[in-house]
Amino acid sequence: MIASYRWLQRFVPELPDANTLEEKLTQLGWEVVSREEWGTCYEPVELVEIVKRVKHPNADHLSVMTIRRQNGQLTSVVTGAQNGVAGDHVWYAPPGTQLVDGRVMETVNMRGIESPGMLLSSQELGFEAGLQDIWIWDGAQNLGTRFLDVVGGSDTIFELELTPNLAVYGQNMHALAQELAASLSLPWDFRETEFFYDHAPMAKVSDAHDCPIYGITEFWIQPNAVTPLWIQVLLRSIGQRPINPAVDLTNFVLWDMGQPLHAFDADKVNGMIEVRRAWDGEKLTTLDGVERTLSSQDLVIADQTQALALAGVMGGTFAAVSSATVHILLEAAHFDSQHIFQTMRRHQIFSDAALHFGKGTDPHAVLSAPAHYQNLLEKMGLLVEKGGSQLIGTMPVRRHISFNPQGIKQLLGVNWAEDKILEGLERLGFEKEEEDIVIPSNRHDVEGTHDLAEDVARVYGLEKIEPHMFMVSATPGRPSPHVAYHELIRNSMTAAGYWEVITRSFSSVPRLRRAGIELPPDVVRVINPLRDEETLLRPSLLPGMLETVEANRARRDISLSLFELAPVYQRSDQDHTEHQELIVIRTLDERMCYPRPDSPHLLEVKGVMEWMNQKCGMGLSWQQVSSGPEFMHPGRLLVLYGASGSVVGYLGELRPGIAQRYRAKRVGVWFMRIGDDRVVTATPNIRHPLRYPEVVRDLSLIIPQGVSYQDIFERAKQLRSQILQTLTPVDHYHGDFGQSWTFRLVFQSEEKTLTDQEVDQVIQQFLQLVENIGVTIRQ
Amino acid sequence: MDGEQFNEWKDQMTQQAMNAESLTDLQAARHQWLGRRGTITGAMKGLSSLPIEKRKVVGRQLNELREYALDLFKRCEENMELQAETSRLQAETFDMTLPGLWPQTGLLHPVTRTRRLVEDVFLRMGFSLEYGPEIEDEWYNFEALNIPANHPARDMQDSFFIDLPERVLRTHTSPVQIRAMQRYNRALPVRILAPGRVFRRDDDATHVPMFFQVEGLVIDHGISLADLKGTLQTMAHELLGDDIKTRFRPSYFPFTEPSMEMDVTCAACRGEGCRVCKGTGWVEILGSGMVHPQVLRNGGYDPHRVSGFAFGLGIERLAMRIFGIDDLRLLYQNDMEFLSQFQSYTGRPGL
Ligand SMILES: [Zn+2]
Repeated sequence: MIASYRWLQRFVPELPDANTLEEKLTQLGWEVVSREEWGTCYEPVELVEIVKRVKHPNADHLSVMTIRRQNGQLTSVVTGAQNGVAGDHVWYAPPGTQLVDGRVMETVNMRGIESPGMLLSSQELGFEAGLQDIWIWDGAQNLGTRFLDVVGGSDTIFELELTPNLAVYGQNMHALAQELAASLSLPWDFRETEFFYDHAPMAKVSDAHDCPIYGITEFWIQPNAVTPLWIQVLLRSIGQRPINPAVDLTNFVLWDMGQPLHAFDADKVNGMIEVRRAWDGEKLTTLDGVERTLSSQDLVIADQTQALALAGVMGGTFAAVSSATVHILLEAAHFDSQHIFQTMRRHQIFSDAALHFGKGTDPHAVLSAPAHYQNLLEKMGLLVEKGGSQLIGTMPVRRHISFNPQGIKQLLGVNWAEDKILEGLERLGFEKEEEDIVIPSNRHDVEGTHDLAEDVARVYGLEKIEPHMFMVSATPGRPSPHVAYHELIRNSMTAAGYWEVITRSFSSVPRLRRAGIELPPDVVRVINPLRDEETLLRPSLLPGMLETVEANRARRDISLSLFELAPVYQRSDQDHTEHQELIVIRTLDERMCYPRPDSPHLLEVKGVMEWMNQKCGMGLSWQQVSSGPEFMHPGRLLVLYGASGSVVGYLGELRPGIAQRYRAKRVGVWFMRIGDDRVVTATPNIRHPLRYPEVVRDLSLIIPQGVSYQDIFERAKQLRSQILQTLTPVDHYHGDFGQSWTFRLVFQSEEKTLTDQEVDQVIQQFLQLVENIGVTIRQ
Repeated sequence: MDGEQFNEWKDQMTQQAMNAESLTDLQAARHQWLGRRGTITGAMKGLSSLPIEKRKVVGRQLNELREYALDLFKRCEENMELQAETSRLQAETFDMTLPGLWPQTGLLHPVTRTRRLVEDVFLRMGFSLEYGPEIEDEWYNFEALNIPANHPARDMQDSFFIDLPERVLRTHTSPVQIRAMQRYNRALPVRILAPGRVFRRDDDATHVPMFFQVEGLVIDHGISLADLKGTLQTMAHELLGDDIKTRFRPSYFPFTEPSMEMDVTCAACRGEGCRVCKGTGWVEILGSGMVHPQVLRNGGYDPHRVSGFAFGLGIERLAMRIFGIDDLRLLYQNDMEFLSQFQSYTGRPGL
């Protein structure tokens, strides 16, 4: 909403300066978005007298006017205006003046004659002054008077952002002024009179729920009149365009007191007014020139022939008033705010009327607004005669709530006197009646003590409430065990040298396909996505992760070690639609780097998994398989089992063809579900270091095709040797003998220094066992 | 043979040892003095020809001289070997101006780090962490929080709806308030902090469709707006420093009444007023308020007996503030070059 300092001052004559006002507005919860000076563009515009008018020698439709300025200086200006003769006083904009429409005046050559600046029409100054080209000023001001002075000087304009609760009652100068006066403890001036409706049968309302109160009044007015400048100025300053008196006054009343009024040209109305639902398919051309097709969801104001207006939202063109209108029907209504709000959204008409009715209006204004309108018409001398009027519906009783100052004090945490609390409320228009507080009729937002507490806090300012630390029993805060486990995984992955990324939860079918993932049947779709790439909730973290790889490698050949621990989504019969997934990814391309190339290996990804399995007690076991997810390399794939034996994920290399789609040659991937159901429990098992020396033996073994390290390792485990500590591959050869691995066996005893004989014995047993799978020692 | 002579020898051998240019020279000199036919060896042999009294004196002097010589040549030899090694090593110069090889270190996302910072502050204040689903029941996300069916916040413009009936991607962490109240089942005090992902249909420099919030909720007997102010002020000082100023403004949220927003001193101008803060010197950091009586009832608590406060804070906005980032979207591009900057010390050991 736009608010004018000058307008507010009409209600609160002692209004302080604009800075204080801005502070107060903020304190009261009215957010000041911007503040500017209005009227400064009028500064150079001055009143001059035409002393001579001659035809332009080179153009039939132009004239050359000689004007006299304040100091007697004569200037010639070329004009296309039909009016303006010697002796007329007119407004002159010298070069440099900026007009309301943004044009900047300069000296131009018009058909051979230099013309510095311009004589202005009322429209060029932003006002309506009847049918004339240049604005002939009939005021008694002296030559040289600035236009800014006749509009009352400049004004300060606040652009305010209203929270929904303020919008219920605050979209007008009256309410704003009342709040300011209340918080500044200033006197304020608002006299309102009530309109006296008679009982002319002029309208009927078919559903009191849609329109609880409907007031209509007939006026005869002077045609072709001009709205007084002071009203035009106030409307202009808040960005409203003056049109004609009948319309300008509805606008003025709207912003003055928050009640939308609508004026129909009574001579175009056929018979009685009806407030009814539209017929399905009924047409109405609204004032914005759009022909709209209505439905029975829409409430219309109709005559006996057709719909004349979309109730509370926008009038129609058919019965619109013009400057020639002499006979009007003025509507002052109270509509169901929900209904108007929905109509406004449905038709996307965000008119000022709808923005007021849709938030809620003061039912009492059905009485006060027409009185205000009539009063202004009279003052302007435009009222010819008042005709019949009718009010349908009854004023709601004013709501009461019990006054609970103790509750307010407790809620705010203050020790203010009851009188102070009551005074604050009374300044805002609340009244005390016995033990109750009577709520003003415009305050639909107020329901109970909480709301009163807010108003008291606003009037006195939140800064008046002393901060305090609440006291409760000193129990420690607890993290969730599940999430603490996720944090352990994040910390451990970071310790392992991986970078955490956070990707969006959205995905799409093409994005999944690109990563080699077929759309799972239980995917959750977004009904109203922001973009095509985000039409579903991801069933896998892989696409987002690969896209991160791609985005990072678009500009440079960077090697990446990334992880994400985040939810994936699936529809399910139970409530469980989210699962935590861990994805770990590492690019495996060799990268040149002195002194040795950086050549990450797939086994490093596996190593991270093995380490994490221990570090985080994941309880994983695994097995090499030759098939699994389609996007994985079938020759380098492990299936991972959780502690319960079910498949929880995979580790291996991404299919190179898919890796290449994301600007990577080879990519190692580990992905798995992190069960939410199971928080790993373990007891630490820490033993003393072994004190006796280790014995190290390297064995070179010839390994037949098809025998894996796992096969050999399992055999070593079968030995159940107390002294064989580790068996690790240390070298690998290819030769005419086939393939050979060198294993390092480390022996150590808890009890004594081992003898060669004891070690040899274990080695012999080991060799016998592996012989069964065709493994022989290389001589 | 006497002391004077020995002093002369001492000077001579010292001179020789010091002047030796090579190990060979040094060894030759050593030999000359201590070799089998060396001067000192010869003099030792000659002792027997001296009278007993003199032999004692000279013998002692000669022994001292021998000790001196042994030590002298040993030290000089060691010294010479060290020098030889030094020159050999100097020939093996390695260009230490080459860039160092950094350890492969991991990195937590700045959003995770900021989230933990907030969690830490509130855990220290005795808040427990609570969680709720991202795919939320409409009731928890809206109705229970006093947001009726026709409220603008429920418009398609703001929320992501999914093809699961009566579910929505939660638009805030506030539904966790209700879930926590239900879980506490009328027990007191409720003192929780709920971090999590939330979703809104917005995408520009200050909004992303998925972001992180933390929600705080305290319910007990006699909890007041003053307590809320105190808590939030403490939080602001813990997160942004003791010199930060706070300002509270009335605001509106359907699920709190009274409602207020907290502003903190603008980081860009330190409160002087600039473009970032639209000249006010303040930037908004969070929304808060006293839990609406209806919301308390929806969580099973009696608003006549207890009261509570709640607040919600955007992690990204806080991260932007703490790390000095001007575009929210940067946080979700996962650009390693951008993220790598977060490896440097932030000035806060706890972050
Ligand atoms: Zn600033």
